[in-house]
Amino acid sequence: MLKVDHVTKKYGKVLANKDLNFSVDKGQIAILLGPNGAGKSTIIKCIVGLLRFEGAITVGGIPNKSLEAKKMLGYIPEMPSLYPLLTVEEHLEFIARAYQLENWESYADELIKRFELEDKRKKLGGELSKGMQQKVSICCGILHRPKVIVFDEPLVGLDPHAIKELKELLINLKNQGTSLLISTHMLDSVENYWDIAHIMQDGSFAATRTRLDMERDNASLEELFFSITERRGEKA
Amino acid sequence: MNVIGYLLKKQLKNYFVSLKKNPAKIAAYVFIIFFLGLTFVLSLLDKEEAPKKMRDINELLGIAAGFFMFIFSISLYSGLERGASFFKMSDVNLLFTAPISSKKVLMYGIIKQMGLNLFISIFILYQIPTLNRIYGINGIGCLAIFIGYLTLLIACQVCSMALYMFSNGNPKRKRRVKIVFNSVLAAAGALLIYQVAQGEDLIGAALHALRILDYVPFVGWIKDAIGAVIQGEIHTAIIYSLVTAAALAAILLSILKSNADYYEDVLTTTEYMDEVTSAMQKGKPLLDSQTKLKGEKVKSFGLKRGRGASTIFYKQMLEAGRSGKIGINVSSAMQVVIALGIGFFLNKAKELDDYTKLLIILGIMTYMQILMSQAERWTAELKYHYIYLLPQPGVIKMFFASLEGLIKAALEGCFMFLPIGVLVGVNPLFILLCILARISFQMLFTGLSVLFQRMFGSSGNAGLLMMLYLLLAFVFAAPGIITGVIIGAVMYSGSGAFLSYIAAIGTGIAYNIIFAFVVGLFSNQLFMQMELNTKA
Repeated sequence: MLKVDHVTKKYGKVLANKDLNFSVDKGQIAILLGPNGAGKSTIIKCIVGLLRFEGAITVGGIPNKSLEAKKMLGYIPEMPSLYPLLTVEEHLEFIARAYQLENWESYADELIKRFELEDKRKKLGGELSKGMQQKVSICCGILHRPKVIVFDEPLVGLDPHAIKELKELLINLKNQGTSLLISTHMLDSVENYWDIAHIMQDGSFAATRTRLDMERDNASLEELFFSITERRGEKA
Repeated sequence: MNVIGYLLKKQLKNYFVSLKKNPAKIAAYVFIIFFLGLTFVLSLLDKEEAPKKMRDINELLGIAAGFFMFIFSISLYSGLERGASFFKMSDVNLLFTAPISSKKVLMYGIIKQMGLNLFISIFILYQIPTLNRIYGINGIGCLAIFIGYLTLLIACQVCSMALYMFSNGNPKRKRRVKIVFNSVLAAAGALLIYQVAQGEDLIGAALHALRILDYVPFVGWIKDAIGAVIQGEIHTAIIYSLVTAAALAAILLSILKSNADYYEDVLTTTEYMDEVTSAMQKGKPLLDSQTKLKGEKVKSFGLKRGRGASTIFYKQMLEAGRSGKIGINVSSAMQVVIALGIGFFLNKAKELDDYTKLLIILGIMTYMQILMSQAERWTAELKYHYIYLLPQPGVIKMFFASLEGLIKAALEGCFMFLPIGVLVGVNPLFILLCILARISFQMLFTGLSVLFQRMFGSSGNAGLLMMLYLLLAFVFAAPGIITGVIIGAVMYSGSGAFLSYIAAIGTGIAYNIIFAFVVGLFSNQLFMQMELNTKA
């Protein structure tokens, strides 16, 4: 569903992503792990069309910057980015109108309830705490029922209830056939629901493991992560 | 090593080191230095011409005093409302909590502020050829204006800080200070308008009225010090400089003595300024306790209109309505008042024909439009990821994101040129063209912003890039204006004044629209090529 094909991204002379190749299949949860500065957010921004890059990225076989691909993409940024003068409800209305959605209200209500935003419906974006903003940002990113959803550090700033709800939501979305790409450096946050993990270091993949591989080898993702990131230069 | 010295030295050094990694900033510096050099060369070339009759230097001093008063009163008013601060949040978190004397910290703040003021005062240096040509002011005189302006900016900060400390926490006192402040300003304004309205000699009456500002502390002293330097009266210049320095020192001393714990007073302002700076750098509208709006006051909810890209426009309308800035905002209102004021004064100038009066206003207001053009809401859209992700063609998204600016320009144009046009009695077609000219300049500046964003990854809302943007705005607006003036001049003898004016403005409008159209053609690919940059 999502295919990243030989993608390289440079900021001037700094190589942020180096010839990355991977894909996320329908109904799969892929995670990008890596320390700060490994290049996770950069590749995510390339995927959602916020950065220029060398190589190719397709969503459902269509180039990621095309209008058709954008319709299929959802993005939840690391730092929630809300319009300070729109209320919670209006953010969802804005997305619904901009994406030309029909009969979106009940799904919006469901999301608002799920993330305990009911009493915040009429609150402005600028009046919300960072955690609340993150919840609204998640609702905005998935309201149009995208086929591919990209999360950049989704759990940062969320309260325990929201974390539980988000995890459940991710599993629901997976079961509905949505492809999910999640970037994080919090290993315990993704412990139980990933299908494939890419460990990034210095802009490229230092290791890629499926959940089945790890279970077969009786290995721990955490051990693998630290074995790579704490011994720079040694490829797994 | 002294910690304050260390901090200042390291910050300065690291700023220059960071330039290595920021070619856009280096390009901007080169551009600014090039223009400064050009300015000096032009002023030198001008000297070689035969000496002309210069205008009265008191005219310049009067304008300077008026400008100084404008800045001083705005600064004091904001000081009264919110206080003033030389500090950033990093200073609050790291320096205020460190075992360093508050006097040293205050000095550090002032030194930093002086550095910043130096930077924002550079625009005065660009006026050297004009000042030299019109008033015959030499390099020393220009330097005196530059230093005088720098001193005034420091005085503004110190006075507003002192005023805030004096009135903070005492609503009654604050209200009284406000009443006194407003009354003085209103009286001065009324006197000014009365004298100008009475005077036959427009400029003479205005200058006479502005002499009232001689009695305003700092404004009058600094103006007189500058005047003394220009006229070679060194003793007088020294006296006024000493008076200014002594007054500043006395206020600073009173700040330190009367309230040793000034940290608390500057904290709120620092937090506020941090939010403002951050919002400006990100190009986002600010929502804070100072904003008129609060959630509970929102009465109407929902966008109600919009589908696809047009939703961006209706969202902006909703935001504009909530922030009380629908259509005409403070900057627009200020420009309209200035235009009407100039129109009122120019109407008394018998030596100018009616069309020239309107053209002068159009010129001045276009100059202001350039200065204000970067604050448009559409550039803020580029700092959010939504517009990039929306599945709509780039050119349509661009159009709807900038539509509010075009409507605003049209409204401003109507409020500016309709009353003045009717007052001086020009052909309605000419009024319409003036309004269209304003809209077309808005289109040109929007196009330029797009190019700028594409080239520098920033909309140039703050700092050095803003200066570069302004310079580029003048450069890109110039061909249309120059061609218009040439065509107008060529037609003047053959077709008469009215047609030549129409041709001149029409040419300018056509150029602006063509420029915007060409950029629009390329902007369909804009969101494919442009990168989201939330940093600046």
